[in-house]
Amino acid sequence: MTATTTAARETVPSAAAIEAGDFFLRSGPFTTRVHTSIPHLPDGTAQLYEPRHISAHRDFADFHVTVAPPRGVRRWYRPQVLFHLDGIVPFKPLPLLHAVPIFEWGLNWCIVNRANSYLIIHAAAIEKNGFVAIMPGVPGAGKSTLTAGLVNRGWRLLSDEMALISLTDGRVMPLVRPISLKNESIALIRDFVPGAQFSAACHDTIKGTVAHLKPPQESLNRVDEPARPAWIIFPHYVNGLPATLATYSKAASLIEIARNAFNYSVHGARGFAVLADIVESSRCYRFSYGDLDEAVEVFAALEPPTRAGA
Amino acid sequence: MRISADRLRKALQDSEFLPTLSLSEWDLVIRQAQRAGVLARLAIQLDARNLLDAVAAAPRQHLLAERALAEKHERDVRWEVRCIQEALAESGVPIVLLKGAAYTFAGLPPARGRLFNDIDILVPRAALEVVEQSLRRSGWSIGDIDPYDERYYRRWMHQIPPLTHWGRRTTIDVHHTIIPDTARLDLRVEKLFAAATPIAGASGILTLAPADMILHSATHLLNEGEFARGLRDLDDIAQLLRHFGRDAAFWPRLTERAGELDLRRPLYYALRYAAMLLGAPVPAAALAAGPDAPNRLLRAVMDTLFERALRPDHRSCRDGLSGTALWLLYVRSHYLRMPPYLLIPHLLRKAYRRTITPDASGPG
Amino acid sequence: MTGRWRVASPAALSWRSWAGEIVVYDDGSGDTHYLEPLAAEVFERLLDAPADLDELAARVAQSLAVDRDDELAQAIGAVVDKFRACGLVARQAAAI
Repeated sequence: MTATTTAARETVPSAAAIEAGDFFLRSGPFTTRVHTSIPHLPDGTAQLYEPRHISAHRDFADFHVTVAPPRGVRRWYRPQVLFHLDGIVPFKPLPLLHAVPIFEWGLNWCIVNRANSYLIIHAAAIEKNGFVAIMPGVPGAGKSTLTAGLVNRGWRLLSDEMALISLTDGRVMPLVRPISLKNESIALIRDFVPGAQFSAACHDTIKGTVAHLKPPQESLNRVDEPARPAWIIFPHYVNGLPATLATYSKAASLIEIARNAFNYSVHGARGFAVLADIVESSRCYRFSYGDLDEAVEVFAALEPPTRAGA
Repeated sequence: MRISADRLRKALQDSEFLPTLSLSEWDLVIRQAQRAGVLARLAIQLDARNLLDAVAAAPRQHLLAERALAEKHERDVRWEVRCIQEALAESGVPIVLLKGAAYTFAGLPPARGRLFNDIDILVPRAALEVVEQSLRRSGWSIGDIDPYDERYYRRWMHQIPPLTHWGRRTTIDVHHTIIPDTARLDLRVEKLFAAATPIAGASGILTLAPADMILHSATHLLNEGEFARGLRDLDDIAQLLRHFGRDAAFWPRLTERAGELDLRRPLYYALRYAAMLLGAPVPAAALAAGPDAPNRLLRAVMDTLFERALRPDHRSCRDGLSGTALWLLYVRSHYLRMPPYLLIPHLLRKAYRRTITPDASGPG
Repeated sequence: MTGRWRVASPAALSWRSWAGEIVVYDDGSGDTHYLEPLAAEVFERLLDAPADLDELAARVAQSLAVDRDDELAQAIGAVVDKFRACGLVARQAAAI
């Protein structure tokens, strides 16, 4: 009885904060203070994030973000929206309707530019039975669609876009943000995951039509559980191709995962050592696929490396 | 607003109290330090005292991030200077490193926790063409630049326009003096070269003598009207004063050299604000208002302007006068550099350019 | 390509080796290099001791148990040239 009452009391201030456009959002290890005058942004955010992770006040925020119309005529005429990080404006303005994607991309920017206490790989990270599959991917490799499918078929989402690696022990820290999907992938995942919760689709963005998918509840619940890498899998989507998993040389895997690390050059010898250790103790593959169900089967059959080494 | 900047200024003098800050206090200090370009400096200072672990986890991540960045920047600067040495080795031109790169190679305190942008070097004016050609041969080039800006650089800013390396995307600013030649303050750059000190284990590169290093930094900060990194630059001066000032004989040498190079006024302000705002241990004799010092009224006006300009560039530190103070100091810097008949058109042109370019500034 | 070659700054290097391939990180330049098996072999032989191209060919041929022929010599020359270009190796200064 007490627990429910407490929870109810906590959600009321959050709801008010969201409505006022001034709230704190927790995503993985980061807290973002969001200040916005745009009504559909807080609503969109509330749909995509865990209610427990939204609050009216936190003592410390990693990022202080404002999403607001620019000054001047674009406030009203073909209205636009700007993303600010504590006085810095990283992007040109975007149409007002795209406020939710611009917030998500902006938050990505904040993490990639500031979170240098981690090694950040441009990769998805999913977990099962305590083992993480890291999937580095260039745009178009189909990594997000694959991730969205897998986390709704038994895998836990740690991240769809940025794998945060601890420099002390090489574990992957969960970030659990909404999964960004484009164009045909949106319909595909709607079919694949009945009842999936999506943000409203935004058309005519630079990436085409974009929508964000709320992560599965269990992934959100376990946001405080890091896990150890066991597989490095480079995905490649080609329509019509049968799912094929091919072993990839460790040396080539190390070079390629380093190339996919946003801040590899920041960490120098330490970054090299951490990535080399991960490669050493993981099974490395290239993976091509054309059908999501087949991909799910292949992933279900993945064996973690034995203790003796991969 | 004074209170907001004070905590950060205090932290730069002695970071010992920082682990006792509350989370909301940290929230503000980190943002201010980030904008001021001194967050890495705080991280390194805390690290040196083994106090990083005593900082709460959430702010600590930011300090660790900055420490990693500073270490990367140091690696980059050392490599970049090596590449510059190689490019200019054949020409035999002596290269004097300025600012950050100089602090790094001379192992001076301001090098610690520093994030670098460009590398600044000083070469003899007669060697400018050879240097530009050698650098171009090794992969540096000017890139797209407005012809007005290019002329401005060469004529008024005492340097070749910035040269960027095609592969590493790093930039060198090649200077031939430290004050533009039309300035009211006349400078004899040969004296700087004569006093320059070689760097042990690195042939062909030198740094300015200690007094000259401080005078250069002081002139750059107090006369050039750019304060985005103002607090950091002032802290550089404070740290250099603490370091070289341990030798009592240094202070009269510094004052004398300022006289020789006709840089008494910028030194006066540098010593004044380093002491006033950052607790630098400047002896009373050096601080005293000599015959060249500004009169009391001018001093009061400058205090009002500079105190604001030397706050972190963060909205928590701005007040109603901040914008005006920056503008006045900007105009002053050009007044010191250009004759009036050129100053007005220049300022008008800059103001025009600012309004037509959208204000989408990148990270500081 | 005459003269003796040595690994330029071994103290700045970290590397890992798997199945005949090597990945090297150079803390001076900040670069990371992938070495295919022949390049990996040349790198390891130069780590043993500096050598000119002839000696190098001999050592590599012995280590890999292959014929020491022109093709091998040429390939080794190309590898050393690439190493020089990216700063992994340098000429050893002649003794005075």
